[in-house]
Amino acid sequence: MARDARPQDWELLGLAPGAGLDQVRAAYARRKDLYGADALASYSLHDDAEREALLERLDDAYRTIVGELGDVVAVRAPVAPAPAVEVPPGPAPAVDQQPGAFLRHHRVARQVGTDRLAAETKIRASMLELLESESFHALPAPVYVRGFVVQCARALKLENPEGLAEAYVAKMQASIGDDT
Amino acid sequence: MDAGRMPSAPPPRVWAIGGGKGGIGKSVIAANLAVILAQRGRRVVLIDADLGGANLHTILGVSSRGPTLTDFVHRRCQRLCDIMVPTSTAGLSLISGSRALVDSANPKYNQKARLLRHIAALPADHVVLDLGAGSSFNVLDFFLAAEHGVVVVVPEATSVENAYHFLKAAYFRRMRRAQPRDRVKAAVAAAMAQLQALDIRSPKELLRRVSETDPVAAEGMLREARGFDPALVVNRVQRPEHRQLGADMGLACEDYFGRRMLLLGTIEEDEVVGRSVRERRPAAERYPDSRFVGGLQGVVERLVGEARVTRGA
Repeated sequence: MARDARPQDWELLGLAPGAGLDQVRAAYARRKDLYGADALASYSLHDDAEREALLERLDDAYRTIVGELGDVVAVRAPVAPAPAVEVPPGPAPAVDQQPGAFLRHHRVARQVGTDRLAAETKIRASMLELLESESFHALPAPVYVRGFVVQCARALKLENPEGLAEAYVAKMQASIGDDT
Repeated sequence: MDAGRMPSAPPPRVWAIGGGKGGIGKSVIAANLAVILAQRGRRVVLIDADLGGANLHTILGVSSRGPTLTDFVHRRCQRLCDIMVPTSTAGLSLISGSRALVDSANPKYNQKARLLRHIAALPADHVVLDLGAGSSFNVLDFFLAAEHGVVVVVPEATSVENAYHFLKAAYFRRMRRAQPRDRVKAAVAAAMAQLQALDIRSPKELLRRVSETDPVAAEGMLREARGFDPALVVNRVQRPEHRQLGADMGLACEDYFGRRMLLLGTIEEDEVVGRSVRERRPAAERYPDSRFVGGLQGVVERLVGEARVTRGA
Protein backbone atom coordinates (compact mmCIF):
# COMPACT_ATOMS: atom_id res chain seq x y z
CA MET A 1 0.00 0.00 0.00
CA ALA A 2 0.97 3.62 -0.13
CA ARG A 3 4.10 4.55 1.79
CA ASP A 4 5.12 8.00 2.98
CA ALA A 5 7.15 10.20 0.64
CA ARG A 6 10.85 10.30 1.57
CA PRO A 7 13.36 13.09 0.93
CA GLN A 8 14.82 10.91 -1.86
CA ASP A 9 11.49 10.97 -3.69
CA TRP A 10 11.54 14.74 -3.83
CA GLU A 11 15.21 14.72 -4.75
CA LEU A 12 14.53 12.42 -7.70
CA LEU A 13 12.13 15.04 -9.04
CA GLY A 14 14.64 17.78 -8.31
CA LEU A 15 12.23 19.48 -5.93
CA ALA A 16 12.30 20.62 -2.34
CA PRO A 17 9.79 18.78 -0.15
CA GLY A 18 6.54 20.70 -0.08
CA ALA A 19 6.51 21.83 -3.71
CA GLY A 20 3.05 22.18 -5.23
CA LEU A 21 1.18 19.67 -7.33
CA ASP A 22 1.75 21.59 -10.56
CA GLN A 23 5.49 21.67 -9.97
CA VAL A 24 5.50 17.97 -9.17
CA ARG A 25 3.60 17.19 -12.36
CA ALA A 26 5.87 19.36 -14.49
CA ALA A 27 9.07 17.96 -12.94
CA TYR A 28 7.86 14.40 -13.42
CA ALA A 29 6.71 14.92 -17.01
CA ARG A 30 9.97 16.59 -17.94
CA ARG A 31 12.03 13.72 -16.54
CA LYS A 32 9.89 11.01 -18.10
CA ASP A 33 10.75 12.63 -21.38
CA LEU A 34 14.38 13.35 -20.55
CA TYR A 35 15.12 9.74 -19.59
CA GLY A 36 13.03 8.08 -22.29
CA ALA A 37 14.71 5.47 -24.46
CA ASP A 38 14.95 7.78 -27.47
CA ALA A 39 15.95 10.96 -25.67
CA LEU A 40 19.02 12.61 -27.16
CA ALA A 41 19.72 14.80 -24.13
CA SER A 42 20.43 11.89 -21.79
CA TYR A 43 21.92 9.56 -24.38
CA SER A 44 24.59 7.29 -22.83
CA LEU A 45 24.50 9.01 -19.43
CA HIS A 46 23.04 5.77 -18.01
CA ASP A 47 23.13 2.26 -19.39
CA ASP A 48 19.79 0.67 -20.26
CA ALA A 49 19.35 -1.12 -16.94
CA GLU A 50 20.16 2.03 -14.99
CA ARG A 51 17.82 4.08 -17.10
CA GLU A 52 14.92 1.69 -16.62
CA ALA A 53 15.55 1.55 -12.90
CA LEU A 54 15.62 5.33 -12.80
CA LEU A 55 12.29 5.55 -14.63
CA GLU A 56 10.75 3.04 -12.25
CA ARG A 57 11.95 4.98 -9.25
CA LEU A 58 10.61 8.19 -10.81
CA ASP A 59 7.19 6.59 -11.26
CA ASP A 60 7.26 5.34 -7.71
CA ALA A 61 8.33 8.70 -6.28
CA TYR A 62 5.73 10.50 -8.34
CA ARG A 63 2.89 8.18 -7.32
CA THR A 64 3.86 8.48 -3.69
CA ILE A 65 4.11 12.26 -3.70
CA VAL A 66 0.97 12.79 -5.75
CA GLY A 67 -0.85 10.37 -3.46
CA GLU A 68 0.11 12.47 -0.45
CA LEU A 69 -0.49 15.79 -2.15
CA GLY A 70 -3.74 14.52 -3.59
CA ASP A 71 -4.98 13.81 -0.05
CA VAL A 72 -3.91 17.23 1.16
CA VAL A 73 -5.42 18.97 -1.84
CA ALA A 74 -8.59 16.93 -1.55
CA VAL A 75 -9.06 18.09 2.01
CA ARG A 76 -8.41 21.70 1.13
CA ALA A 77 -10.15 21.90 -2.23
CA PRO A 78 -12.03 18.84 -3.43
CA VAL A 79 -11.97 19.92 -7.09
CA ALA A 80 -8.25 19.47 -7.93
CA PRO A 81 -7.68 16.09 -9.63
CA ALA A 82 -4.33 14.30 -9.69
CA PRO A 83 -3.28 13.22 -13.19
CA ALA A 84 -2.84 9.60 -12.21
CA VAL A 85 -6.53 9.40 -11.35
CA GLU A 86 -8.00 11.64 -13.99
CA VAL A 87 -11.59 11.97 -12.91
CA PRO A 88 -14.43 13.20 -15.11
CA PRO A 89 -14.22 16.95 -14.74
CA GLY A 90 -16.77 19.38 -13.36
CA PRO A 91 -17.56 22.63 -15.16
CA ALA A 92 -14.85 23.90 -17.53
CA PRO A 93 -12.55 26.61 -16.15
CA ALA A 94 -12.78 30.05 -17.77
CA VAL A 95 -10.67 30.32 -20.90
CA ASP A 96 -9.12 33.67 -20.11
CA GLN A 97 -8.43 32.93 -16.45
CA GLN A 98 -7.14 29.36 -16.64
CA PRO A 99 -6.40 28.56 -20.28
CA GLY A 100 -4.11 25.67 -19.28
CA ALA A 101 -6.73 24.11 -17.03
CA PHE A 102 -9.28 24.71 -19.78
CA LEU A 103 -7.15 22.63 -22.17
CA ARG A 104 -6.70 19.87 -19.60
CA HIS A 105 -10.39 19.86 -18.82
CA HIS A 106 -11.36 19.25 -22.43
CA ARG A 107 -8.62 16.72 -22.99
CA VAL A 108 -9.71 14.71 -19.96
CA ALA A 109 -13.38 15.11 -20.88
CA ARG A 110 -12.59 13.54 -24.25
CA GLN A 111 -10.60 10.80 -22.49
CA VAL A 112 -7.46 11.62 -24.41
CA GLY A 113 -4.20 10.88 -22.55
CA THR A 114 -1.23 13.23 -22.95
CA ASP A 115 0.57 10.41 -24.75
CA ARG A 116 -2.13 10.22 -27.40
CA LEU A 117 -2.33 13.97 -27.74
CA ALA A 118 1.47 14.04 -28.03
CA ALA A 119 1.33 11.48 -30.82
CA GLU A 120 -1.31 13.47 -32.67
CA THR A 121 0.22 16.90 -32.31
CA LYS A 122 3.92 15.88 -32.33
CA ILE A 123 4.31 17.96 -29.19
CA ARG A 124 6.16 16.14 -26.43
CA ALA A 125 4.02 14.88 -23.55
CA SER A 126 6.20 16.76 -21.08
CA MET A 127 5.57 19.96 -23.02
CA LEU A 128 1.83 19.30 -22.88
CA GLU A 129 2.08 18.91 -19.10
CA LEU A 130 3.89 22.24 -18.89
CA LEU A 131 1.24 23.85 -21.10
CA GLU A 132 -1.63 22.53 -19.04
CA SER A 133 -0.04 23.40 -15.71
CA GLU A 134 0.78 26.90 -17.05
CA SER A 135 4.43 26.49 -16.12
CA PHE A 136 5.20 29.64 -18.05
CA HIS A 137 8.84 29.93 -17.10
CA ALA A 138 9.58 26.42 -18.28
CA LEU A 139 7.89 26.91 -21.63
CA PRO A 140 9.63 28.14 -24.78
CA ALA A 141 9.02 31.60 -26.26
CA PRO A 142 5.37 32.71 -26.66
CA VAL A 143 5.63 32.42 -30.44
CA TYR A 144 6.08 28.63 -30.08
CA VAL A 145 3.54 28.33 -27.30
CA ARG A 146 0.90 30.00 -29.46
CA GLY A 147 1.42 27.29 -32.08
CA PHE A 148 1.30 24.51 -29.49
CA VAL A 149 -2.01 25.72 -28.11
CA VAL A 150 -3.56 26.01 -31.57
CA GLN A 151 -2.44 22.47 -32.43
CA CYS A 152 -3.80 21.03 -29.19
CA ALA A 153 -7.11 22.83 -29.58
CA ARG A 154 -7.47 21.58 -33.15
CA ALA A 155 -6.59 18.02 -32.18
CA LEU A 156 -9.22 18.18 -29.42
CA LYS A 157 -11.69 19.78 -31.89
CA LEU A 158 -12.26 22.78 -29.63
CA GLU A 159 -13.99 25.87 -30.91
CA ASN A 160 -11.86 28.86 -31.81
CA PRO A 161 -8.32 27.49 -31.35
CA GLU A 162 -6.84 30.91 -32.20
CA GLY A 163 -8.86 32.62 -29.50
CA LEU A 164 -7.68 30.08 -26.94
CA ALA A 165 -4.07 30.60 -28.06
CA GLU A 166 -4.52 34.37 -27.72
CA ALA A 167 -5.87 34.00 -24.20
CA TYR A 168 -3.06 31.62 -23.28
CA VAL A 169 -0.27 33.82 -24.58
CA ALA A 170 -1.84 36.92 -23.03
CA LYS A 171 -1.82 35.29 -19.60
CA MET A 172 1.69 33.95 -20.17
CA GLN A 173 3.04 37.37 -21.10
CA ALA A 174 1.30 39.07 -18.22
CA SER A 175 2.78 36.46 -15.89
CA ILE A 176 6.40 36.56 -17.09
CA GLY A 177 6.36 40.27 -17.83
CA ASP A 178 7.50 39.80 -21.39
CA ASP A 179 5.84 41.36 -24.39
CA THR A 180 7.89 39.77 -27.15
CA MET B 1 58.89 37.70 -12.53
CA ASP B 2 60.27 35.01 -14.75
CA ALA B 3 57.20 35.05 -16.96
CA GLY B 4 57.57 38.77 -17.45
CA ARG B 5 54.80 40.49 -15.55
CA MET B 6 54.37 42.55 -12.44
CA PRO B 7 53.66 40.34 -9.44
CA SER B 8 50.79 42.57 -8.38
CA ALA B 9 48.72 42.13 -11.55
CA PRO B 10 45.75 39.79 -11.08
CA PRO B 11 46.00 36.49 -12.93
CA PRO B 12 44.04 36.15 -16.17
CA ARG B 13 40.68 34.40 -16.24
CA VAL B 14 41.22 31.07 -17.93
CA TRP B 15 38.48 29.40 -19.92
CA ALA B 16 39.05 25.98 -21.44
CA ILE B 17 36.98 24.82 -24.37
CA GLY B 18 36.62 21.04 -24.68
CA GLY B 19 33.95 18.48 -25.31
CA GLY B 20 35.41 15.15 -26.17
CA LYS B 21 34.55 14.99 -29.84
CA GLY B 22 36.39 16.37 -32.85
CA GLY B 23 34.64 18.23 -35.65
CA ILE B 24 31.98 19.94 -33.55
CA GLY B 25 33.22 23.49 -34.02
CA LYS B 26 35.18 23.66 -30.78
CA SER B 27 38.20 25.43 -32.25
CA VAL B 28 36.09 27.89 -34.24
CA ILE B 29 34.19 28.73 -31.08
CA ALA B 30 37.38 29.14 -29.03
CA ALA B 31 38.92 31.41 -31.68
CA ASN B 32 35.85 33.60 -32.06
CA LEU B 33 35.26 33.86 -28.30
CA ALA B 34 38.82 35.17 -28.03
CA VAL B 35 38.27 37.63 -30.90
CA ILE B 36 35.04 38.92 -29.34
CA LEU B 37 36.71 39.44 -25.95
CA ALA B 38 39.54 41.36 -27.64
CA GLN B 39 37.03 43.45 -29.61
CA ARG B 40 35.56 44.43 -26.23
CA GLY B 41 38.91 45.87 -25.21
CA ARG B 42 40.31 42.95 -23.20
CA ARG B 43 43.87 41.65 -23.53
CA VAL B 44 43.41 38.09 -24.67
CA VAL B 45 45.74 35.17 -25.27
CA LEU B 46 44.38 32.23 -27.21
CA ILE B 47 46.29 28.99 -26.66
CA ASP B 48 46.05 26.08 -29.03
CA ALA B 49 46.30 23.26 -26.51
CA ASP B 50 45.00 20.77 -29.06
CA LEU B 51 48.39 19.13 -28.91
CA GLY B 52 48.68 17.02 -32.00
CA GLY B 53 45.76 18.55 -33.91
CA ALA B 54 46.39 22.27 -33.74
CA ASN B 55 44.73 24.51 -36.30
CA LEU B 56 43.87 27.82 -34.69
CA HIS B 57 46.50 29.55 -36.82
CA THR B 58 44.47 28.55 -39.87
CA ILE B 59 41.20 29.84 -38.43
CA LEU B 60 42.83 33.17 -37.54
CA GLY B 61 44.91 33.44 -40.70
CA VAL B 62 48.24 33.53 -38.84
CA SER B 63 51.42 32.10 -40.36
CA SER B 64 52.11 28.55 -39.29
CA ARG B 65 55.84 29.21 -39.00
CA GLY B 66 57.51 30.22 -35.77
CA PRO B 67 57.75 28.68 -32.33
CA THR B 68 54.88 26.69 -30.85
CA LEU B 69 53.81 25.26 -27.54
CA THR B 70 56.09 22.29 -28.28
CA ASP B 71 59.12 24.58 -28.07
CA PHE B 72 57.96 25.75 -24.66
CA VAL B 73 57.19 22.26 -23.39
CA HIS B 74 60.65 21.09 -24.44
CA ARG B 75 62.25 24.22 -23.02
CA ARG B 76 63.58 25.52 -26.30
CA CYS B 77 61.74 28.69 -25.29
CA GLN B 78 61.80 29.71 -21.66
CA ARG B 79 58.78 32.00 -21.49
CA LEU B 80 55.27 31.65 -22.89
CA CYS B 81 55.25 35.29 -23.98
CA ASP B 82 58.20 34.55 -26.27
CA ILE B 83 55.99 32.32 -28.41
CA MET B 84 52.94 34.62 -28.48
CA VAL B 85 52.27 36.00 -31.95
CA PRO B 86 49.98 38.94 -32.72
CA THR B 87 46.83 38.39 -34.76
CA SER B 88 44.82 40.67 -37.03
CA THR B 89 42.60 41.46 -34.02
CA ALA B 90 44.03 44.19 -31.78
CA GLY B 91 44.61 42.87 -28.27
CA LEU B 92 44.54 39.20 -29.27
CA SER B 93 47.69 37.07 -29.31
CA LEU B 94 47.97 33.44 -30.31
CA ILE B 95 50.12 30.67 -28.94
CA SER B 96 50.18 27.98 -31.58
CA GLY B 97 50.03 24.29 -30.78
CA SER B 98 52.38 21.69 -32.09
CA ARG B 99 51.82 20.50 -35.61
CA ALA B 100 54.06 17.50 -35.99
CA LEU B 101 55.70 16.06 -32.91
CA VAL B 102 53.57 13.26 -31.61
CA ASP B 103 55.37 12.99 -28.29
CA SER B 104 54.40 16.51 -27.31
CA ALA B 105 50.76 15.45 -27.27
CA ASN B 106 51.47 13.87 -23.90
CA PRO B 107 53.39 16.29 -21.71
CA LYS B 108 54.65 14.91 -18.43
CA TYR B 109 53.22 15.99 -15.13
CA ASN B 110 55.88 18.59 -14.40
CA GLN B 111 55.69 19.97 -17.93
CA LYS B 112 51.97 20.43 -17.46
CA ALA B 113 52.43 22.10 -14.10
CA ARG B 114 54.99 24.49 -15.58
CA LEU B 115 52.65 25.33 -18.44
CA LEU B 116 49.76 26.06 -16.07
CA ARG B 117 52.04 28.22 -13.92
CA HIS B 118 53.12 30.27 -16.91
CA ILE B 119 49.54 30.61 -18.16
CA ALA B 120 48.55 32.07 -14.80
CA ALA B 121 51.34 34.63 -15.22
CA LEU B 122 50.51 35.75 -18.77
CA PRO B 123 50.02 39.48 -19.21
CA ALA B 124 46.36 39.15 -20.19
CA ASP B 125 42.83 39.65 -18.90
CA HIS B 126 41.59 36.42 -20.46
CA VAL B 127 43.21 33.23 -21.62
CA VAL B 128 41.18 30.95 -23.87
CA LEU B 129 42.45 27.38 -24.08
CA ASP B 130 41.36 25.27 -27.02
CA LEU B 131 41.61 21.67 -25.82
CA GLY B 132 42.02 18.61 -27.98
CA ALA B 133 39.42 15.94 -28.57
CA GLY B 134 39.21 12.95 -26.27
CA SER B 135 39.21 12.59 -22.50
CA SER B 136 42.89 11.96 -21.81
CA PHE B 137 44.30 13.09 -18.47
CA ASN B 138 46.09 15.97 -20.17
CA VAL B 139 42.90 17.35 -21.63
CA LEU B 140 41.06 16.82 -18.33
CA ASP B 141 43.73 18.53 -16.26
CA PHE B 142 43.63 21.66 -18.39
CA PHE B 143 39.84 21.55 -18.33
CA LEU B 144 39.77 21.30 -14.54
CA ALA B 145 42.44 23.98 -14.06
CA ALA B 146 40.31 26.57 -15.85
CA GLU B 147 37.92 28.91 -14.06
CA HIS B 148 35.23 27.53 -16.34
CA GLY B 149 35.56 24.40 -18.40
CA VAL B 150 33.28 24.82 -21.39
CA VAL B 151 31.91 21.72 -23.09
CA VAL B 152 30.79 22.09 -26.70
CA VAL B 153 28.18 19.68 -27.98
CA VAL B 154 26.20 19.35 -31.23
CA PRO B 155 22.75 17.72 -31.45
CA GLU B 156 24.00 14.28 -32.44
CA ALA B 157 24.08 11.11 -30.35
CA THR B 158 27.84 10.67 -30.86
CA SER B 159 28.57 14.16 -29.59
CA VAL B 160 26.25 13.85 -26.58
CA GLU B 161 27.86 10.51 -25.77
CA ASN B 162 31.36 11.96 -25.88
CA ALA B 163 30.31 14.96 -23.83
CA TYR B 164 28.95 12.77 -21.02
CA HIS B 165 32.00 10.54 -21.16
CA PHE B 166 34.15 13.64 -20.89
CA LEU B 167 32.13 15.13 -18.02
CA LYS B 168 32.21 11.88 -16.04
CA ALA B 169 35.95 11.51 -16.58
CA ALA B 170 36.52 15.11 -15.46
CA TYR B 171 34.28 14.66 -12.41
CA PHE B 172 36.05 11.52 -11.24
CA ARG B 173 39.48 12.98 -11.94
CA ARG B 174 38.56 15.92 -9.75
CA MET B 175 37.16 13.64 -7.03
CA ARG B 176 40.48 11.85 -6.74
CA ARG B 177 41.84 14.94 -5.02
CA ALA B 178 39.26 14.76 -2.23
CA GLN B 179 40.80 14.86 1.25
CA PRO B 180 41.31 13.17 3.66
CA ARG B 181 42.18 10.69 0.97
CA ASP B 182 42.14 7.50 3.04
CA ARG B 183 38.76 8.17 4.58
CA VAL B 184 37.24 9.15 1.24
CA LYS B 185 38.62 5.99 -0.33
CA ALA B 186 37.27 3.80 2.46
CA ALA B 187 33.85 5.45 2.52
CA VAL B 188 33.45 5.24 -1.26
CA ALA B 189 34.61 1.62 -1.32
CA ALA B 190 32.11 0.73 1.41
CA ALA B 191 29.25 2.35 -0.49
CA MET B 192 30.31 0.82 -3.80
CA ALA B 193 30.34 -2.65 -2.26
CA GLN B 194 26.59 -2.31 -1.71
CA LEU B 195 25.76 -0.42 -4.87
CA GLN B 196 22.77 -2.58 -5.70
CA ALA B 197 21.43 -2.93 -2.18
CA LEU B 198 21.66 0.80 -1.54
CA ASP B 199 20.24 1.68 -4.94
CA ILE B 200 23.09 4.06 -5.78
CA ARG B 201 22.89 5.12 -9.42
CA SER B 202 24.80 8.35 -9.65
CA PRO B 203 27.62 10.35 -8.06
CA LYS B 204 24.95 12.48 -6.41
CA GLU B 205 23.50 9.44 -4.66
CA LEU B 206 26.95 8.16 -3.78
CA LEU B 207 27.71 11.45 -2.07
CA ARG B 208 24.44 11.33 -0.17
CA ARG B 209 25.27 7.82 1.05
CA VAL B 210 28.78 8.81 2.16
CA SER B 211 27.36 11.80 4.00
CA GLU B 212 25.31 9.35 6.07
CA THR B 213 28.26 7.11 6.94
CA ASP B 214 31.27 9.45 7.10
CA PRO B 215 30.52 13.19 7.20
CA VAL B 216 34.23 14.08 7.16
CA ALA B 217 34.85 12.18 3.94
CA ALA B 218 31.64 13.62 2.50
CA GLU B 219 32.77 17.14 3.31
CA GLY B 220 36.02 16.57 1.42
CA MET B 221 34.12 15.17 -1.55
CA LEU B 222 31.65 18.02 -1.47
CA ARG B 223 34.49 20.52 -1.59
CA GLU B 224 35.71 18.97 -4.84
CA ALA B 225 32.19 18.60 -6.21
CA ARG B 226 31.63 22.32 -5.71
CA GLY B 227 34.71 23.02 -7.80
CA PHE B 228 33.25 20.94 -10.62
CA ASP B 229 31.69 23.75 -12.54
CA PRO B 230 31.32 22.92 -16.21
CA ALA B 231 29.48 25.11 -18.68
CA LEU B 232 27.79 24.08 -21.92
CA VAL B 233 27.50 25.48 -25.43
CA VAL B 234 25.21 23.73 -27.90
CA ASN B 235 26.50 24.32 -31.41
CA ARG B 236 25.10 23.80 -34.92
CA VAL B 237 21.42 23.63 -34.01
CA GLN B 238 19.11 23.30 -36.99
CA ARG B 239 15.86 21.78 -35.77
CA PRO B 240 13.50 23.54 -33.34
CA GLU B 241 13.31 20.55 -31.00
CA HIS B 242 17.07 20.76 -30.46
CA ARG B 243 16.82 24.23 -28.94
CA GLN B 244 15.85 22.46 -25.72
CA LEU B 245 18.94 20.23 -25.76
CA GLY B 246 21.14 22.47 -23.60
CA ALA B 247 18.51 22.92 -20.90
CA ASP B 248 17.72 19.19 -20.95
CA MET B 249 21.38 18.18 -20.68
CA GLY B 250 21.77 20.67 -17.85
CA LEU B 251 18.91 19.04 -15.99
CA ALA B 252 20.30 15.54 -16.60
CA CYS B 253 23.69 16.66 -15.24
CA GLU B 254 22.08 18.21 -12.20
CA ASP B 255 20.20 14.98 -11.50
CA TYR B 256 23.34 12.93 -12.04
CA PHE B 257 26.21 14.92 -10.55
CA GLY B 258 24.17 17.08 -8.22
CA ARG B 259 25.82 20.12 -9.77
CA ARG B 260 24.16 22.80 -11.84
CA MET B 261 25.67 23.13 -15.30
CA LEU B 262 25.75 26.65 -16.68
CA LEU B 263 24.14 26.84 -20.13
CA LEU B 264 26.09 29.48 -22.01
CA GLY B 265 24.15 29.41 -25.24
CA THR B 266 22.59 27.61 -28.14
CA ILE B 267 24.12 28.51 -31.48
CA GLU B 268 22.36 27.88 -34.74
CA GLU B 269 23.93 26.32 -37.77
CA ASP B 270 25.33 29.11 -39.89
CA GLU B 271 27.05 28.84 -43.22
CA VAL B 272 29.30 31.82 -42.45
CA VAL B 273 31.35 29.54 -40.22
CA GLY B 274 32.57 27.38 -43.07
CA ARG B 275 33.04 30.42 -45.25
CA SER B 276 35.13 32.25 -42.66
CA VAL B 277 37.39 29.22 -42.19
CA ARG B 278 37.91 29.01 -45.95
CA GLU B 279 38.73 32.71 -45.97
CA ARG B 280 41.04 32.28 -42.98
CA ARG B 281 39.48 35.20 -41.20
CA PRO B 282 37.58 34.85 -37.92
CA ALA B 283 33.82 35.13 -38.35
CA ALA B 284 33.64 37.63 -35.48
CA GLU B 285 35.63 40.05 -37.67
CA ARG B 286 34.34 39.16 -41.09
CA TYR B 287 30.66 38.54 -40.26
CA PRO B 288 29.92 40.36 -37.00
CA ASP B 289 26.19 40.49 -37.76
CA SER B 290 25.80 36.78 -38.44
CA ARG B 291 23.67 34.51 -36.26
CA PHE B 292 26.79 32.57 -35.29
CA VAL B 293 28.62 35.62 -33.96
CA GLY B 294 25.44 36.95 -32.35
CA GLY B 295 25.07 33.66 -30.48
CA LEU B 296 28.69 33.82 -29.33
CA GLN B 297 28.23 37.39 -28.08
CA GLY B 298 25.59 35.99 -25.73
CA VAL B 299 28.00 33.24 -24.63
CA VAL B 300 30.68 35.82 -23.82
CA GLU B 301 28.23 37.91 -21.85
CA ARG B 302 27.13 34.95 -19.78
CA LEU B 303 30.73 33.86 -19.17
CA VAL B 304 31.91 37.32 -18.15
CA GLY B 305 28.79 37.83 -16.01
CA GLU B 306 29.28 34.50 -14.30
CA ALA B 307 32.96 35.23 -13.68
CA ARG B 308 31.98 38.52 -12.07
CA VAL B 309 29.52 36.75 -9.77
CA THR B 310 31.83 33.92 -8.72
CA ARG B 311 34.85 36.15 -8.19
CA GLY B 312 32.93 39.02 -6.63
CA ALA B 313 34.68 41.47 -8.97
